Amino acid sequence: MTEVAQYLINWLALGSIYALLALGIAIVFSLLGLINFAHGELVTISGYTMVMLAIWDVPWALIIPLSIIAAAVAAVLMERVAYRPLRGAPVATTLLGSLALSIVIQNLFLMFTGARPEAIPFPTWTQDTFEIAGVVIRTLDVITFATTVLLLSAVLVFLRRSARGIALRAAAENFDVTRLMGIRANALIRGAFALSGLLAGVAAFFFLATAALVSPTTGFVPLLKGFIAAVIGGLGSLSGAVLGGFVLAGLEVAFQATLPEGSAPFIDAFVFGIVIIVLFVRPHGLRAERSALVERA
Amino acid sequence: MPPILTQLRRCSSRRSSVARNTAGDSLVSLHAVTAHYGSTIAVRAVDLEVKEGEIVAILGANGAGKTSTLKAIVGMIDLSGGTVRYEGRDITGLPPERIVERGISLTPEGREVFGSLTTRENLRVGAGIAGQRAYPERLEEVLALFPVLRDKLDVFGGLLSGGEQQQLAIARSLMSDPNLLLLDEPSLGLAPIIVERVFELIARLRDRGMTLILAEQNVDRALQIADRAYVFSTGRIELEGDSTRLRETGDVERAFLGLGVEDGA
Repeated sequence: MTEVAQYLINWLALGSIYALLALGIAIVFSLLGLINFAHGELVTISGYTMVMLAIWDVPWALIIPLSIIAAAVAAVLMERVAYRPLRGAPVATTLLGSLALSIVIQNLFLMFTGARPEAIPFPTWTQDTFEIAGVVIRTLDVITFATTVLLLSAVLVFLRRSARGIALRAAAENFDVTRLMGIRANALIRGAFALSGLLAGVAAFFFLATAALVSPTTGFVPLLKGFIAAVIGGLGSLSGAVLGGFVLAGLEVAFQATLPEGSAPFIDAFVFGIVIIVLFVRPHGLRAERSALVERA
Repeated sequence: MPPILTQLRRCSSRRSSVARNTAGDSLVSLHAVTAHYGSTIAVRAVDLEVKEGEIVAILGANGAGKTSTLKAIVGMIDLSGGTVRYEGRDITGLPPERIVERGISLTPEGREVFGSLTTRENLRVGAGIAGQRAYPERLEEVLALFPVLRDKLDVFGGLLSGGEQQQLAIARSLMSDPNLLLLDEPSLGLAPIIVERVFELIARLRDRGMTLILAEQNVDRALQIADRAYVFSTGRIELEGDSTRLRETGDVERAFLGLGVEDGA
């Protein structure tokens, strides 16, 4: 029983991180039909920002918001420098451009910081645990889930209530017609990237806290998980991305719980096997109701 | 008098004073406009002028260049030549959002209502980011013109009937408070009774001082309501003139088919 509770908490925390990453990827995709392969690098950038600020003895109360802002700013810069010149280009071009951007950023870090992982001196409370009815719970897991619920609620309110949020949803459905409403395309896209970066920055803190290390290739796993979660949900569907995050984490935790010890290296293989089956049954993902997107893609 | 009436009156008097300062009182004019879709030519050397308070019809078969002409005015396609002037200023090459800010609005062909947004949200987007302060007031004015939409405010755009969607599409275009409204095939795919309602609405907008350009395949109905018309064939203007005169002669049909008009109308 306590073991089940343990896995449940693991699932919620891991699912939260995947959901935040997937939502960021889905927001950009829903607007531009672009898969930002450099999304994982936002996590890396957050990580190195933490390392750098910690070296300067900046308190963590500031490091956390600054590392999130760094990711959001980096996302906006990616759009301005790399993606805007590619706007309107064929899908294959933007796909390659996005992949290239990811590789360029990784190599910049390689040049300036070296390949060796840097330790992030996370505050000790991130390792704290407490016990309820015999279940040992990591404080950070609770914070991860609570923060994610709050953040996703805020994003939901933004998308439902604010003029900019509604415009973002409109643009996800039909970009050209949204411009006809006098909504500025560049501002809209910049906003989408900023939001995507902000979500990645928050995810970065929770993702990096476990290993407390960052290296130039740190972004690979968050990108992979976020991308797969977004695909499971139906690329471009925002609610689907969140759902996909929790489904993916659920599969991982379930295999962790049931497969014999020593099979850890193969968990991903099992998980991706299930993902392939899911996509075989529902090729457009779990929540692909947006016919407009399917048409464009 | 409902506020939109006074507002539109005010608008139109302001506009005519602006127009008087420029040459003639043309609100929008196209000069030698040519545009391509890839390597296919969409419109070639189009000269077109619309004056304050007019309804001008753009007629022609599928692919004649009606939609491209409207898109050229709002900056949705890049021109390979020519200029577009609005209120005496060159607006060629401006992005659509800037052109809309200046007071032109396009209701696109096929309605293009945001299906995953409610009627209310569709109208809110229509007001643009800059128009959010005026949004509640404009919403009331537009709902007074389209009472059907009042009961459907919280219904998703995709779930409305064709007629309701067309009205929503026009209402959404009006939310930006335009001086010039471009309607691309507003009667397409609608039941005859709904078509009548749409044309009644167009007449009411004209009565309130709005200038309209109407692209239509429904030639008879369009000529009834328009002051003047241009007939397009294969991307070129084949014929232009007053609606009444065009209705009397049989030239429209010939021009429609691209057969040319004998006596240089």
